[in-house]
Amino acid sequence: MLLLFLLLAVAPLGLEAYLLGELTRVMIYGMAACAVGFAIRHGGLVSFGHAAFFGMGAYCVLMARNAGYQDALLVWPLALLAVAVLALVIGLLSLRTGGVAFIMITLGFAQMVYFIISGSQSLGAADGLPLFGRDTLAGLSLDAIHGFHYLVLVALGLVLFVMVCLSRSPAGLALRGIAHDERRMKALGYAPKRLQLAAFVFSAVVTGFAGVLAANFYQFVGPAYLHWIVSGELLVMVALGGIASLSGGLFGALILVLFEAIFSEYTTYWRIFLGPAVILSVLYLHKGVHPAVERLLGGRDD
Amino acid sequence: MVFFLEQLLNGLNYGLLLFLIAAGLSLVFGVMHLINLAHGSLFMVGAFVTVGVAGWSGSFWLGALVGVVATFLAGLLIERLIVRSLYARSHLDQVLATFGLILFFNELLRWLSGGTPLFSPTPDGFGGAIEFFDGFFYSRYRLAVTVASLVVAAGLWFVLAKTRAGMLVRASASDPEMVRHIGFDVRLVGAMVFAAGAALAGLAGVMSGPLVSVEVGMGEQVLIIAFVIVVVGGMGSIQGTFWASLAIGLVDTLGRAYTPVLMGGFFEPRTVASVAPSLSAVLIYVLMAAVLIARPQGLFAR
Repeated sequence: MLLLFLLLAVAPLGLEAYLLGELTRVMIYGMAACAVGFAIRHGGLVSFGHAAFFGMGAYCVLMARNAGYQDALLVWPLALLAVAVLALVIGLLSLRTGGVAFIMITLGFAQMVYFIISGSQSLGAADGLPLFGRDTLAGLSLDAIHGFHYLVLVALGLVLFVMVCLSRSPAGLALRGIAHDERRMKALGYAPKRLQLAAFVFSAVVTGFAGVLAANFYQFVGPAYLHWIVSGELLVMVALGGIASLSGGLFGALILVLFEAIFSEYTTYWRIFLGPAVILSVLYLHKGVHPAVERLLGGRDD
Repeated sequence: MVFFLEQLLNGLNYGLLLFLIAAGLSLVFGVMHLINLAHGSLFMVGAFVTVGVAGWSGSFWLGALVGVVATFLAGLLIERLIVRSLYARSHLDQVLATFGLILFFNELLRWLSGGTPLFSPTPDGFGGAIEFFDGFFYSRYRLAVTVASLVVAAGLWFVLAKTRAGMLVRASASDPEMVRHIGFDVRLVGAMVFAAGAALAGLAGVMSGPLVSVEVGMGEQVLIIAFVIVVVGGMGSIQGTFWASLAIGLVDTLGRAYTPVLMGGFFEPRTVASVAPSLSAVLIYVLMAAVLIARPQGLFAR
């Protein structure tokens, strides 16, 4: 874990812009995947609708730009607030049932958000819109990839730190219990639904933050951010990286980006290999790739 | 009036096609407690195989036959190779592995078809429209599909409710242990239900071919709507799935037809043109939200 962070920190010194961009991308999707994993581990919530939050974050950047605002200190907190409100509504409705229905319902509502936003002319409809430059941070330009890379790195570190604190807090431990046995936690006097809702909203906000960063990274916002396949890929990252660890999503994102880089060399239809790879890893590599790698490196993980 | 009748029939037609898809999903969940995301892929495979074989042989009927048989066999194969290992796994593993299947099928067909939408010809003898009464014409093919879907739905009901095989399926859903102890092969029942569900989805794909454009991604659109249906109707209730399918088909079709008309009374034409399409696309999700608020376990859940 520390090793990876060290690598990400020194990467800008040696890599050319394209490869550095790939690493930045890994961190952004890794952040979202960690958030998805958090909701699964803490609360037992398998969401197939996190694309809605990822996209909502991205589209908030676009909406702010349309309204003439471009500074991160103003735009980003507002974007996260908007994501939180959306997550609260979807969470309240989806948590009325549990288990499999939760997966289907989150997918359904994410699709609804997709239709609403991709049907809006002022947001570029089905084509999306370019952003023409990244947001500024208190007046500082983030257009150079090096500066942006470090910003994302700091943001990721911060998010993971908050996740560690939360997972060790009493609420975090209770949520872990709920993921394990909801009925027993209820009998112990906890209010599972309320804690689960909090975990869901937190997870959504972090994913929304990743969406904000992604919009700034690509300098483009379009319906692809909201597409259900994003939700699926985030879950794949969680599974590949290992569900048990906090930073599994980050490793999963790294694996997925590497996979794409390797196989798209050979064919544009590289997903034809990804599908079977995902199936095989689910069937035979139960705990994900990350624990195996960690063991090899002799590292420890929280 | 004529417009309303036409939309009503379209809604019924759509709802019955949706039932063929959702029925398999609901049965597989009811008997094996499996969530199968790749169910929509089988719908897509059915449509593609029919178009392919019909184009090659010149006969729609041969294409339809091959399409249904191919999806049945694909269902058997998928159950044997992948799904069988997933019954005892968590819903997350089921979602991931079947998501891998979606990636595989989508990319395979994108590769084979070149990524352009295909158009299936209407079978001979079902082109044009028939005149119900003075001034009311309706597409002959759509009517045939409606009738065929009704017959299949009735057949499904008959098999499930009146035959020994159906009794075995129902028994396996409510108490698989007991069924096994009496001496039946529950795994075989599971395999047959899965393959039959696959063939039903394939049949829906076959019949939808001439009504829509046959393209990669068509499976997930119907999959998500089928999920909404299963949630609205109640998990595992085939009767609930039927009525929910009709309701969703009618709400979606009539919504798309009448939202612009109703909005036209209140808003300017420009507003209507930009808002109405996404508003009507959202209606079924609003219905799902309403059901979740009023009866979270679904309308027909036991």
